[in-house]
Amino acid sequence: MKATSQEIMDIVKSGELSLETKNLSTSASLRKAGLDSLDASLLFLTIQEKYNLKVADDDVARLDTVDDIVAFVNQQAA
Amino acid sequence: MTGPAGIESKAYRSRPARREDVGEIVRLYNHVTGRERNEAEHCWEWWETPAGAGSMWVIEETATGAIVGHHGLIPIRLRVGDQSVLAGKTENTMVHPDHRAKVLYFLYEKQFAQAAAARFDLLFTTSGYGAPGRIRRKLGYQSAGATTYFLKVTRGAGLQRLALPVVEKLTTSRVLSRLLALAARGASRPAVLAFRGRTQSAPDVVVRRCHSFDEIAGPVEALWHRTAPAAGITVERSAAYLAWRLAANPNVPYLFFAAWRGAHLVGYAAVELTAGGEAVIVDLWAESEQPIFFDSLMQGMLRQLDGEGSNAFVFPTLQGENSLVRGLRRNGFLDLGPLLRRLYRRAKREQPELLVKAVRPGLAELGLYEPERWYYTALFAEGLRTAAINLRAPKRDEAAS
Repeated sequence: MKATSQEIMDIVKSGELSLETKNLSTSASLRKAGLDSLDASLLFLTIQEKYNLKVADDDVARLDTVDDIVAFVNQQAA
Repeated sequence: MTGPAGIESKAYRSRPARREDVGEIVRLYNHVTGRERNEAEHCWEWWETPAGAGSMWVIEETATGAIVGHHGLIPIRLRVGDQSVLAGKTENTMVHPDHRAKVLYFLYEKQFAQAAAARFDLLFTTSGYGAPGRIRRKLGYQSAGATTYFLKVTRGAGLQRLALPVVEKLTTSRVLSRLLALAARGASRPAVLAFRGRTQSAPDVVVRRCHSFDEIAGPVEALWHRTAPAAGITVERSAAYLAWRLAANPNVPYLFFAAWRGAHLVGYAAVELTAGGEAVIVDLWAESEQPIFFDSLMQGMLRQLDGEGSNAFVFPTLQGENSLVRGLRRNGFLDLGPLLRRLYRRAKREQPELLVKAVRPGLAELGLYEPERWYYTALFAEGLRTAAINLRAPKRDEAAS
């Protein structure tokens, strides 16, 4: 299943995470916007479940923007 | 060795802590907290409790095998209504700063909590704020109330000493700060009148300072067994537990007071004297049938401590209308909660809360999440030395919880 920027942004902005999402662009650093370890865990658990794929902890450490996540999901789905 | 629940682990793995990890865990603790704990202090807290060794897990970096994270639950017996339950108190939750952005800590603690369910009836944390608070709420912990300090001052000097840091917080202007400090000095003597209580002491109750806890260990345990049915939710005050938590505590030398009615013990208290000169009342337990025993012990103890130079008394507890809070108010203690809440809001920080998670079915229905049901003293805390009466709001990223 392929992901779109809008879908990932919707998850980021779902309200479950504590980061600042106002004016967040798809290329902006999620960690600089306040994504902490708890947020990252919740975000990638949701992504795993929604797109039925496996994420490893070193992937989580590497992926820092919505664009990164979209590319990762679509690469896994390919 | 396993990775975190839900996400494949390549960079880190976890396992239960072993005795041979003590040195590395202590070094991690000292690095994260800036404190200087030694291995003996760690072993007292984690390996030698009356309820057995704590449940501890470590997170290792896969590539090096280095311990970069730790989470633990200290076993502590609580009385919840008519039940004796084994609780796990979260402590020493920490991840090395170099690894915080990479370790998915929440997933590890979720896994540790699942493992702990086989041993503990309930879990609790006294660090219900910031990242640890968010994590634990996600894990199903719920608030049982906000923690607070009750304060009583018996002389103007005590109030001045406590007021000065607050005055410094209110303004960055040195001139205004000095003026406020002078005003505080002038107002401190009449302000002490606000701490007058409305109590009576029983003439036949004598309060004595003990040379050691051993003198009263047996009578305190007998007192506990007599009074436990009316205890609400609190720490079980067995002689073995108090001897470990208070008398054998390597971090703090406590003073003990006992209230006697003839040969009959009607109350006991443990006090820590801080470097700043305040007396922190860590625990006070008295016959519950009549408030006069609580009041006689409190007043007798305060008189003795005041005579020895202590003039500010602090009682950490939970906000809420319970028997302990009523007892403190009767004895002239004022809740610093409103002031603390203002300071927290000013600092845009969260107020610490007691968070609890019932594991055993049916416990939640016994009032676990109602502050009115708790008799909460500093016995619930880790047992570290109180550096100073801490009116500042905690930082969000304070790591050891």
